[in-house]
Amino acid sequence: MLEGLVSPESLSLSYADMSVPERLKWLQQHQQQEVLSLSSNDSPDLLQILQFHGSNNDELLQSTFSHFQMVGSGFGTNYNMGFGHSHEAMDGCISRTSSCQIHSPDTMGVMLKNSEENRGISLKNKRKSEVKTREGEKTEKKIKVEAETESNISNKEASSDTLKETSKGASQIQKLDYIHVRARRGEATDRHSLAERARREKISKKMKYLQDLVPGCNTVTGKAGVLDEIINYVQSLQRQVEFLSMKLAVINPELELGVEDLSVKQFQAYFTNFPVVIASKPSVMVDVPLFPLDQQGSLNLSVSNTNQTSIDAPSESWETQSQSLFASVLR
Amino acid sequence: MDSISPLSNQTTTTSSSSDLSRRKCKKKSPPSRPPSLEKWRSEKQQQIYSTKLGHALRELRISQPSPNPNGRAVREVADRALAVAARGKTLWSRAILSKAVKLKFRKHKRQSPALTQPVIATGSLRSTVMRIKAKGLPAVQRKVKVLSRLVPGCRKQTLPVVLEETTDYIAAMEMQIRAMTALLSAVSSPAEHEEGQTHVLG
Repeated sequence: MLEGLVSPESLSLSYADMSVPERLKWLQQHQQQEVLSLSSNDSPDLLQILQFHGSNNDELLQSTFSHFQMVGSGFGTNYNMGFGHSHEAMDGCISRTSSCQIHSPDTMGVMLKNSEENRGISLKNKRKSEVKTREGEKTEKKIKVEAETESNISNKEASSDTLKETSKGASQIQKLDYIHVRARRGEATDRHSLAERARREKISKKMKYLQDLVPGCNTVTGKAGVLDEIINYVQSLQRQVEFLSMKLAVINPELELGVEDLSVKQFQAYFTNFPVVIASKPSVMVDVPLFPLDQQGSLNLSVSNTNQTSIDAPSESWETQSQSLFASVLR
Repeated sequence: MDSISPLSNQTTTTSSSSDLSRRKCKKKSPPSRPPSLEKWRSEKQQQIYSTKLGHALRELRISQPSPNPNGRAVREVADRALAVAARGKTLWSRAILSKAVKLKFRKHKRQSPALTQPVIATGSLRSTVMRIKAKGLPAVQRKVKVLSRLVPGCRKQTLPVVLEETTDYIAAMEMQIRAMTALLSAVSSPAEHEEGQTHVLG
């Protein structure tokens, strides 16, 4: 009977990989199987849940099956309530759901080990052990479908808590196009922690960009070290800019002559991309004294070697436009 | 138990797949840069910046004829040119430009040497940076605050914003340095044979 429960279907399909309709079908198949094969009232629920989760952990499954059969129907409503809560735990370590009082010490140890991580769900004190064991399970946000099937299985009184979760899940699923986060193994699944995790992922992504950008950041691990490197790099860049600007200030008198050559070439490249120069700020341009510009225009012609007559007129207006920004600001 | 072995194989595969957290946006397998960084690396952007800088420097030279322009003034001009090149899409560029505009207004109002204000700003920047480093806040937050003070316009911003601005600011500054060194080398190296030619302005 055990082998029959652990059917090849459960082996071939991992729970996470199945699509929703497939899961439903699979569930229904197993429900039918289990109802037939088991005698007690409670155990169909348990086993449906067990199958439902598509256990991956075979050893635990085997042990818990044996434990369940020993227990029989002794738990009644308590057990079902516990399982009602456990429905969110979509994953296969069914032994975790079965936690409670039946297990042998070694399996309990295993289960507790797996379930160290916290769930943010508040539960009754009686179910503390179940909470702990359930916490270790993988979870998904796509819990709407499972919740529906589970409500068929479990008691309604137990599902008050689950309904809240499922409603949350449903609302989250309805916004499927918004953000789809799969909670990792052993992490909490309530909305806050998921949002927190999304935020942390964004931040770490940005830190990775920065790490690529800043040289020498690859060796350091941890946010603080990377931030240190970034700060040093930014400071060094700023110092470099200051140093260069001081140098430029020193040679500024000679700047004009050299700049013309550069700027002319760049002008030509520039103007191929920008055919239309827009004199869009006439009011500002009034401030600009045109006299020195005329001088510079003549300077352009005299110093540069290339033919500038065609470029000169638009260049002047471009100059006035760009310089108007600085002139209005400087004056 | 014959069924154990395939099941155990399954466990490994499913656990590895479930450990990945998926997002709505597709995963970028190669670490691609945000497009803003590509912009700062392009040759065209550098040319635009150097022309702007050239004109701004000329303008500066005209406005301050007798003293050679300070290194500080040149730096301000260079930063402003960079902010213009950024087209005001980023926080730091807007902050730089608004700083300059505020300065202009203050100058109009008080007619006092407003140039002292940027002096104070740069002076206090270093001191606040050191002061923040000395505080006993949690280390990462302390450093984030320091970083936010370094990048203009990011003093009261949240961490993701600060990080984004930092990436853009670093890329822009790298381009600025490249352009300025190119300008310097172009000026200094042909300076010898340029002086032999027309010396219009003397």
